[in-house]
Amino acid sequence: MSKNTKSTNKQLTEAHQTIQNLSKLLKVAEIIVSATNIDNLLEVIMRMAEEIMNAETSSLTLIDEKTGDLQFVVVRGEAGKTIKSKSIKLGQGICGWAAKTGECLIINDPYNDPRFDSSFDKTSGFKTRSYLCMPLKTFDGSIIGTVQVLNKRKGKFTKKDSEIFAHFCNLSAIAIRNQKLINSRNEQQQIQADLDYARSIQQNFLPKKIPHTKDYHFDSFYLSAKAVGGDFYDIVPLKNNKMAVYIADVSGKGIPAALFMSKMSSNLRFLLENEKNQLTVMEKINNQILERSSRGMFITLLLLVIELKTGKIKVFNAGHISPLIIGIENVNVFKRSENPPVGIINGIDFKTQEFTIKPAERIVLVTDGLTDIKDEKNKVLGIDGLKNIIEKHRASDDFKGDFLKEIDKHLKATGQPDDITMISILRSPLPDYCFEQEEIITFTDADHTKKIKDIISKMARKVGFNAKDINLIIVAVLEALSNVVKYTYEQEVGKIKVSVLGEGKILKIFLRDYGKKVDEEKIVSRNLEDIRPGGLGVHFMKEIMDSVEYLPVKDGNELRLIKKAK
Amino acid sequence: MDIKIVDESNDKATVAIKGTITFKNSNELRVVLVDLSKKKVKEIRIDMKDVDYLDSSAIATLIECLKITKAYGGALVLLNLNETCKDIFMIARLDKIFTFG
Repeated sequence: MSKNTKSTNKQLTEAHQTIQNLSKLLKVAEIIVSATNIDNLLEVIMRMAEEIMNAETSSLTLIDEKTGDLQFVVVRGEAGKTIKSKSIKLGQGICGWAAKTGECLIINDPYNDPRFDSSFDKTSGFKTRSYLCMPLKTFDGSIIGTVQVLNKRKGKFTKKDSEIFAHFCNLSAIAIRNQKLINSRNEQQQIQADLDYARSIQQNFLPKKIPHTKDYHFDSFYLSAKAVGGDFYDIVPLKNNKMAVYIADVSGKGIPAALFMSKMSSNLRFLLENEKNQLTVMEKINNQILERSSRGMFITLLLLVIELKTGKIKVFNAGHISPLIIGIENVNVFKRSENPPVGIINGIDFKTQEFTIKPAERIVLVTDGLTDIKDEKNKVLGIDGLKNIIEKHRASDDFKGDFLKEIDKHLKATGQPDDITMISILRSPLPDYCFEQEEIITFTDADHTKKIKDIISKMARKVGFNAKDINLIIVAVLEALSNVVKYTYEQEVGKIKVSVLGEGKILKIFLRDYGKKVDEEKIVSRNLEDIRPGGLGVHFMKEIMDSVEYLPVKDGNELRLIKKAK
Repeated sequence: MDIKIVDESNDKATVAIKGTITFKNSNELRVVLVDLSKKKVKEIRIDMKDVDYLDSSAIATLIECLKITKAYGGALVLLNLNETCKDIFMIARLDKIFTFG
């Protein structure tokens, strides 16, 4: 046989061996997972250890939580009876050393290794020839004990043996830890561990990164209740420049709701990405829940599909709280939907609703965990309370932050019984672009004050002024109108054209009259040091606005008032 | 606008105003206030609880009255202004000159 063939054969044998070992490991995993109690489990682990490592005997130690010493839990073979009651200090002997350092030890000549403690051989009559000791490490890196196999039947323990043995021991460590937890008398601890785990799984299903687009700002928060709840939401970019946003709440709480939510959130994302028609998505998800849910679990689901270019929104609402629309002038709850929650009956003819989000408008979606919170007087927030909070902070630069602060006040007072989720969708105001222009023609004898106030408030709000600024801007405009009445028309009847423009963050108000030219002397702002009446109106205008300018026009005057929002 | 003098005595008078005070009606207020200051009432109190808006001519009237009362050692006190009215005084930088009760 040539040298080459020999080495190829050797490689083949090794590969074969590796495959065999791996399949044994798989078998180990199966057996370990199906073991029903810890004693049974440990016995199985040791038997498998001997088989895989081709060793004469084996033992297992676990760290005693009280003393911190290694305690023999399983000792196979004849030596078992005498050794089992013994304990080993960390750092003492070979397993003490392995448990202390976390390193694997391969010793093929134990009697010449200073770490080897021969007293065990002496009491048991066993003769140790080779020794492979592996610390038991759980996934978080903590060492819970050691497993050792002794006296390899053929040859010596090798590095390769230790590699395969490491996998085996990792599996065993996890299995032991889990069994211990299950056996733990402290059921509360077990339940809490499960809940924490379920919650972490659940939160993994919530979007980690919120997509942003040029013209829309999406924001969200999710406050998980102590008990795992069933809120979930997602923001999914679709084809054709559309965005799907949904918020949902699984009926019930606890682990079943969380698991159900996990399943349904991945299903929904898949359906949204693959179905062209969102009505089909609603129908399919309805059927999926009906097929899979138990004990009457259902989901309230609100799905919005936004056509990003136009702001046109299709609303698919299955029994969820309607969206809140924060317009330029007021906060409105979108009209209720007649559709039942998904997962109750099949063959629902889902009705779609539609509306358009305009620039500078915001939509807020919530779950009932939010409307159900109570204040310190035990009064439920409700949809009206929610509207008030939104109204208060609608113009805030940090809407989410201010909103959360308000919610926090309630939560501090009465706690949080359910998950709370909020999504906010803000369509950006159009920058440096004339929003629109409004014009009103009035006469000095007609009182159009209210109408003028309304137009100015609306535009000023769009541009970004707060309520206080808006009131002052109105003061300035009313002063300007008074001046026209007093000085240009001198109490005669005359026409005034008021134009209100919003350009980006700039508000411009032009007052055009057709009376006599303004006398420059009369429009001089008065000297504040000298307290006397007169000239106050112009002073007001100049204090309130950024710029006050009279333009001489052919047949009258034009006063231009300009102010930029912060 | 509606002006009423409530509880008038030698050294004190309270004027309650209701509605909007602008250049169209501020003269009515002027007449009432000048009348009181001619009597040298020591403290003229103006209750603005029900005033929803006032313009520069209203403030001008108040300034005029303030000057007269100060001249004879009297006082003019403004009561119960709403936020908008307060802001107007602030803008005119008259919040330090007037006494708010």
